[in-house]
Amino acid sequence: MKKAAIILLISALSTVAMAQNIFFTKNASIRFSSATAIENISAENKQVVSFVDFKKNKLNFAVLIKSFRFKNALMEEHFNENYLESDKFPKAKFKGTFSDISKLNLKKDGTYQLNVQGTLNMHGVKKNITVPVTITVKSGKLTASSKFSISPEDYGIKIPDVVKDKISKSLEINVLADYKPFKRK
Amino acid sequence: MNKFVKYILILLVLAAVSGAGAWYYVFNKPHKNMLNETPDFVLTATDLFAEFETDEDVANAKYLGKTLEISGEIVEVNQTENRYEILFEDSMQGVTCLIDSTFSANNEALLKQLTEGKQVTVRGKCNGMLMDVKMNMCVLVE
Repeated sequence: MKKAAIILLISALSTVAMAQNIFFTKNASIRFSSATAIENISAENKQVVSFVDFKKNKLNFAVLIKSFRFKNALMEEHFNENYLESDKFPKAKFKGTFSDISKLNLKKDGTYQLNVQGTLNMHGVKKNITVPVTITVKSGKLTASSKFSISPEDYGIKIPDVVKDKISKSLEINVLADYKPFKRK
Repeated sequence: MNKFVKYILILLVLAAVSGAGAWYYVFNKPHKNMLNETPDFVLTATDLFAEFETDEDVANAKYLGKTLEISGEIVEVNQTENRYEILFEDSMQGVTCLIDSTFSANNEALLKQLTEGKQVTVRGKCNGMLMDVKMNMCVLVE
């Protein structure tokens, strides 16, 4: 009986320890902006799903293209219908691994600068990218942010000549994720 | 003759003004207000999630970008400042409705009353499925 209790306790403890390696959020945000002399455009998506598993060294992001909100309704329409073709390609995904995960100590509060290597799958095109990620650990809470640039052209997104001067060749992407420890039910 | 020129001029000015107005309207047209939209589909959150889970591609073709009116029992309300999210079915794998920011600014008192277990009807735009079916621009209709 005592033995069974101990086994139960150990297995309970080990699941807790395992759970601490996995963090997730359903409310991460991704903002992109394009700056040209003529016009500044930006859009934000606050319904981004992200998982990070430090034990397996995996970082995942998934976003629905239609959840990006623009200030201008017409731009939102063009973004979905003409550029990202969100009826055909409703999702964008990123899967990556930290190239320097040993720098991170989840038990120690602080800010860590890491790099993530992975594949961004968007508009039906897969591309390998490396992005810098800042991870902040504060009393068991985990926040990640990243800022990088991508070129729409690399993902087969055609910008018509008429608006070529209004949309930047390089888009700045800002990612912000407040993670919670992932518990299995 | 003079009168004729005057008419032409007036017509030209009118055409230019209405053209500029139309251009301005198209370019700055407002976002859809779900309160004024007629839903393309009316169904329960349970059925919506089930359809996406059975065949995502079929459900995408049917619902993507469409105005849906869904009803169900709230399992969770996520609130950070002015941002409200209502979850149906399951907090991980269900239907998540992000409330339109203008609507939430005007109806804070109403949204604050929402709690787990309450039956509500929400109208919004369906954006597809990640872990859960995502809707945004949502308003409460009941």
